[in-house]
Amino acid sequence: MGKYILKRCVMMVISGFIIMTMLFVLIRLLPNQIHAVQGGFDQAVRDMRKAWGYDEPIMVQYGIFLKKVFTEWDWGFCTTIGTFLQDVTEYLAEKLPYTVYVNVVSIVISTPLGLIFGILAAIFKNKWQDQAINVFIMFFISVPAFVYAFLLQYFVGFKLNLFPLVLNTGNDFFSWSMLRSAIMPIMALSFGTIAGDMRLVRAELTETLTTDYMLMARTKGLTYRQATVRHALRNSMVPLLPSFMADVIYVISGSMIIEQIFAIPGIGKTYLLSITSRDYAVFMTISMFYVAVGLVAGLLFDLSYGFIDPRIRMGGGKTNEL
Amino acid sequence: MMNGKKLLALLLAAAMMLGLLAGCGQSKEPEPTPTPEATAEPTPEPAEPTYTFHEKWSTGGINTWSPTDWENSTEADIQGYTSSAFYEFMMNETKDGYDIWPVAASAMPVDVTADYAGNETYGVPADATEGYAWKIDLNPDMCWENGEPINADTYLYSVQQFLNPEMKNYRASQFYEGTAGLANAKQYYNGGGLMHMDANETVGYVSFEEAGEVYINTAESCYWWGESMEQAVADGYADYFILSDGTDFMEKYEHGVDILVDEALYNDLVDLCQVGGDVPENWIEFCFTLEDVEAIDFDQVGIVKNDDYSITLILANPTTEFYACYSLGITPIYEPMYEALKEDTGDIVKSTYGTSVDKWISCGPYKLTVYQADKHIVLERNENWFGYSDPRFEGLYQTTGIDIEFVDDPATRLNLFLQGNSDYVGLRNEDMETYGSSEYTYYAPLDYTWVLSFNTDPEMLATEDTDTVNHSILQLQDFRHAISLSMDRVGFAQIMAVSEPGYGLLNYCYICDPDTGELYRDSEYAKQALCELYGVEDESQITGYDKEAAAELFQAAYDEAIEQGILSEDQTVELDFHCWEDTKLYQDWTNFIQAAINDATVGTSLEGKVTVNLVVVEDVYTSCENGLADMACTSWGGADMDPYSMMQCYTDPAYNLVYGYDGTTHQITINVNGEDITMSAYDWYVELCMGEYAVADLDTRNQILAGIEKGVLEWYGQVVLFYDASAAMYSQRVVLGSEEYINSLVGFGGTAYMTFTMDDAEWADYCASQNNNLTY
Repeated sequence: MGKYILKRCVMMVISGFIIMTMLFVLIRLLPNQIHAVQGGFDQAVRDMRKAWGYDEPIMVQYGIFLKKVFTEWDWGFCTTIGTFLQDVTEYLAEKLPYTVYVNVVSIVISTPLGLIFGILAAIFKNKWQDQAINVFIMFFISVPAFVYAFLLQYFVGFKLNLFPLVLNTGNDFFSWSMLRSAIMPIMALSFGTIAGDMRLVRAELTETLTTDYMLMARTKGLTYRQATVRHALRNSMVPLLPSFMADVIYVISGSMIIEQIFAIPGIGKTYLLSITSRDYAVFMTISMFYVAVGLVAGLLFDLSYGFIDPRIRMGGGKTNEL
Repeated sequence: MMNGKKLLALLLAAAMMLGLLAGCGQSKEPEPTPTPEATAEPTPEPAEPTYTFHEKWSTGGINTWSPTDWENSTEADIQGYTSSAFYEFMMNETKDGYDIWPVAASAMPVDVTADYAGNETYGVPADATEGYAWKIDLNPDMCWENGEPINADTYLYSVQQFLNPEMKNYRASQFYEGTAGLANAKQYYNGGGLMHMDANETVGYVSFEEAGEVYINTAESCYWWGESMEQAVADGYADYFILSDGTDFMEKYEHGVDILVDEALYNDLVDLCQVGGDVPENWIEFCFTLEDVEAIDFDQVGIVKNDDYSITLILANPTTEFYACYSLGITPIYEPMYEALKEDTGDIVKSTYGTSVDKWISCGPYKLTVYQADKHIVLERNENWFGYSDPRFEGLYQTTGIDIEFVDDPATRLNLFLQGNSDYVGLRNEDMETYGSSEYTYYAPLDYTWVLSFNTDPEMLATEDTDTVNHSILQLQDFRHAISLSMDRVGFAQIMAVSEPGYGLLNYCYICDPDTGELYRDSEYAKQALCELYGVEDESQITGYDKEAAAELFQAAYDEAIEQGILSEDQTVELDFHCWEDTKLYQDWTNFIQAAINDATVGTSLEGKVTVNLVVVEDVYTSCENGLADMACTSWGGADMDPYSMMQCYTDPAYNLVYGYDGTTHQITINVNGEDITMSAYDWYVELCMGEYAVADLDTRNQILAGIEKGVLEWYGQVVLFYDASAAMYSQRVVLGSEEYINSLVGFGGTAYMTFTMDDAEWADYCASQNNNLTY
């Protein structure tokens, strides 16, 4: 197991490095012409870019970048977006809480609801409860989140005046006022996740409930609930883990559109803006943050398979058996 | 089954609890979106009523509002609220113009050129009598928000920091170029040593033999590219470096070193110009000369301290009193903070001044109290601003605070406005049907003129041609002229809902006589130029639309193209119309142009053979500059008080958006005071703004400006479509200084003259009584 973890960690670092190299080169290959403007201000931009090393060959720039990151943990500073010259890690640390806040609450709500309703749909398969849940699934899977974000904002926020149209200012995340202002974006983010989880749980559990070992469990005298919770549900969780992993990544990646609609100063729209504004430092730092989270989450979920289903053993050695 | 029912009941109960929880937050009276006041800790009831102007801005990329580094208008707005200029333009009593008020200055500027005439240090000509040196007495009551005084030393330090050669500040050129260019400022900014100077500026557009010692360096920015050749390759333009014989220029020459241009290199540079579709004479734009620039001390720059509260600005070029007031602004910099915030970044020093509340200090009517990046800005009255105790400002500045929240989505901004959470909202095309006729809607012309810019370069167009598709016909002036005549500008402007049809390069925002407020467009020369261009007797007859004439020109262009072998009978014409997005607006533009051409080609050989393709690109202007677009809608604006300088945008190759047009070779003949004079469009601009006619009388300058405008438009590299405008609503409690838009300097009167019919508390009550759903 230890050897397997070590091997995976090494692979993870190599993958991260390859992705980082590709991202660094590709973003700098995008056209970034400085337009002449009246007043000669373009000259200052050229002077600054030169002084900051952006005129150097790309691989020289990459060398400088790597040196700074690995020797000083210096990911650069904001140039065209964010706060001018602010350390980019500091800038992103200010933005991340907003994205995480909205998405964590969304996940905390949506994962259990997705599980519960998915289980219900499987248990009541082909009954009215299942049909009702399926309608919900179909609607919220098919419609993009920004559509019901707009609908929520217009009808619930604007017409009914139940919630603020945009997220509160400030950073008092634990106040009721802030939570209330976040309810609509949380709902907009949750519907799709709930529907997705429901669909997966329903499908997995439905299949598991019809397996032979479930029949065996019942004939051994287990109640329906005991058989479902102890056997069916646990087995169904194994293929569901990757989707939960995706949810976790979703937590920090944010939603550009949702953030834009509800004026959330989060990381989602910053990421896209960093590409269009050619803020190389911001782009690289956010990208590598996402890459790191994705790789670590992948590793953790791989390892967690073994805890959920003891039959799964990692490493592919001789002891690997069912 | 019972278990399932229990679970269902439990879930329903949970859902109800959630609903209840959500409802708990709602008071009996619906409350507006939380404002800073609402989210902050409870504070005692204010003794005085407050009048907070709430705005919602799109994020707009606020990076820094430091005077030395700000870039966009949003950043300028923060500066505008928190600082005072020497002279401010205030709405006049009759609400139809402006008065100039000394604010950070104590009196109008005094022309002291005579005192400096013949001064060798500042290079003022010995025979100069006016316009070069301006004495400005400072307002002794001006101070920072912490009470520290602002005096002559403050302004000297500020200018020194703007021009600091170690900082390469974005706004440095404000003091070394243009109207406010100070004597010796450029030299101070450049620092000492061997400097690379663009050869087209130092030796001009000359032959190889005449050029002398000129150099290239692939790693250095060159005028032709606007960046280094290496960067141009990285930007995807490697093809432009393949010479006619197939060799790669970038492989042929060493990188990153200064290379003296010999005859072989000269020939390759000429070749590069042709590969890029430019004229060979522009080879010099790849080159630089090495100038041994002597470093100078700051005391040689054209700013002199007369005493603690008086300075004199000595300019590189003369200017009038109006422009001395209009352009010679120095936003003061607070030295202790600016110095403390300096840090090394790469090879230069930069300051993070103007990036947060604790890195900014006000000296204007408002001070910054909250800054949350990309989310929230709050400005409150700066009680230390002298104006609040100055009788001149009595009754002005009723606004006690400004609360700006960043909301990117325009629909959300509108909804917040309709709830009463915002006092201002800009209207979009799609809002105009509902709110266009509202009594709270205000219209303001913008100084941007939108034109259809063409690619006219034969070689570049030919690269897009195939056996069946032709783009090359665009090189024919008749074809472009025909497109111009086929466009019904009135119809096109209607797509934009609030815009006006446009006919000239400069619109009705441009003031040619600051003393009288006369618009350039209203001058006789400007009117005559457009009448001649569009072939009508009177300005009121101008439509620019003549379907029959367009058809004749389309046929003539077709015949000429066939005759010259530019077009074959089997080919159809495709015009790639580059746009920013594939949205309804750009589709409407495309469809309009397509319909106009279809209409005008009926009965001609081009009938049904011209297609306009909407092509989405990341940057339309880059496309135009590099000849990648057949056509695109582009615009220039700004400098409302100086229409003459705007000609740089249309004649200087550095700003050129019409690929294939060269303002330095396009000859224009203008009758100046009875004498026909011919020179290139660019030379006309130079003479008008920096040369012989820079200080000529108004009539002469207008005559030349109109001549350049007509000459450029007659080339049909660009077709004027519409004059931009904007519409916005102000909340029911806001009363603007003027109901009518006055001009770009004072708008509707600005914050100073804006008043409120309800204070914040009354407004909140009123909005709540309307269920936060106001009718506009």
